[in-house]
Amino acid sequence: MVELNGTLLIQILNFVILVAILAKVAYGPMMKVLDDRKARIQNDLNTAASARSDAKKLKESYEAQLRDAQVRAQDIVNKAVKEAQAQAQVQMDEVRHAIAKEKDAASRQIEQERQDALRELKGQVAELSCEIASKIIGQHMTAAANDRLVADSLAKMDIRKAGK
Amino acid sequence: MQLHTGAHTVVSLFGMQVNMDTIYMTWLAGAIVIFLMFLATRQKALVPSGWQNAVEIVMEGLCNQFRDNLGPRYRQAAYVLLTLFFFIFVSNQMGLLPTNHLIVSPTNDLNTTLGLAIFCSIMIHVLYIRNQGIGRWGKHFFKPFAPFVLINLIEEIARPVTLAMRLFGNILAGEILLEVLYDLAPYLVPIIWIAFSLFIGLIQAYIFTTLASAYLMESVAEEEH
Repeated sequence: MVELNGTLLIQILNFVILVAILAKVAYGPMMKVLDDRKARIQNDLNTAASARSDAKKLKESYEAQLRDAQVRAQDIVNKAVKEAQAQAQVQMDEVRHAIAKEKDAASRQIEQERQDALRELKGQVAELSCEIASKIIGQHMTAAANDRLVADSLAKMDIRKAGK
Repeated sequence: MQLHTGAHTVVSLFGMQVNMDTIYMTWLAGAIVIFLMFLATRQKALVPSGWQNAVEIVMEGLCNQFRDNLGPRYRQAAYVLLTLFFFIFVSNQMGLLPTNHLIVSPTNDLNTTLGLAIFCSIMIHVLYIRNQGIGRWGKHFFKPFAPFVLINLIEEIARPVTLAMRLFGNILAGEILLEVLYDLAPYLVPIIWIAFSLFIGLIQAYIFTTLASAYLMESVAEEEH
């Protein structure tokens, strides 16, 4: 039942042949399939990681651009507001200046008219006074005497006014 | 009661006594393994299914274990170890077929198991010399100290002998018990024993392969600097 003989050597030979056949027809191709699959999975994982990294970079880039655009938009708005304020200030100054100028002109005109009215009033008062005085004293005065009297009265009025 | 299990048809070939039934059964087992592998590698689909998937699962599982045991150079021995597993597994199951001793396990012959074990032992030393150099190979018999050479030499002999005896004893004993059970309690009890023997056949193939890979560890390991 238990006997070692030439079978042992033939079995070693059989096994070597079996290994050679299987290596050629089975293990080689199957290992290649397994390696290819492993390489493909690794490649897919690397590609996915790379795509994820690219997407992350792209997202960061877009976010940075968005932030930049927001800052620029804010700058434009601020600049526009400042320009509008400056323009409004200029227009206000111009209007204020125009109002002041018109006010001065109106004041001067009023003063001129007042002076003219005063001067005319003085003349009329002097004439009326002379007329009243001539009637009172019954003395007929010449035109030259009348004018001299008016001028003297006016001078006295001016002196009195200045004394006040 | 006359036992048929373990009895061999011996012929004289090239001046040697040869167990022809064992040789035929070895060829049959080899043919079955080649056929099963052919079925698995026929399509070489990138996305496996069916039989290809099953064989790939076994191969990947074993290769991962070999990688853990042997390191990055495991492929030097992977083909031999895979063949050992598939051949021993198929051989172990052949003796369980109810063929009235027409088909027996080639592994119930010590010549087969010892032949496999001696082949492994030769491969261990060849790979040791190839990977580590003949100087380190010579020195490893004297580790850790010179007097250990005797123990190391005994170990070198004991390894293939124990490997062969374990497999041979398990399979031969299983088949003898099966034959006895057929005579003593036909049908139910042998069926239970066949179910158990299927499991034992798988375990023995796994143990033989795993131990062979463990013995190869030092031979295939990366060189220390």
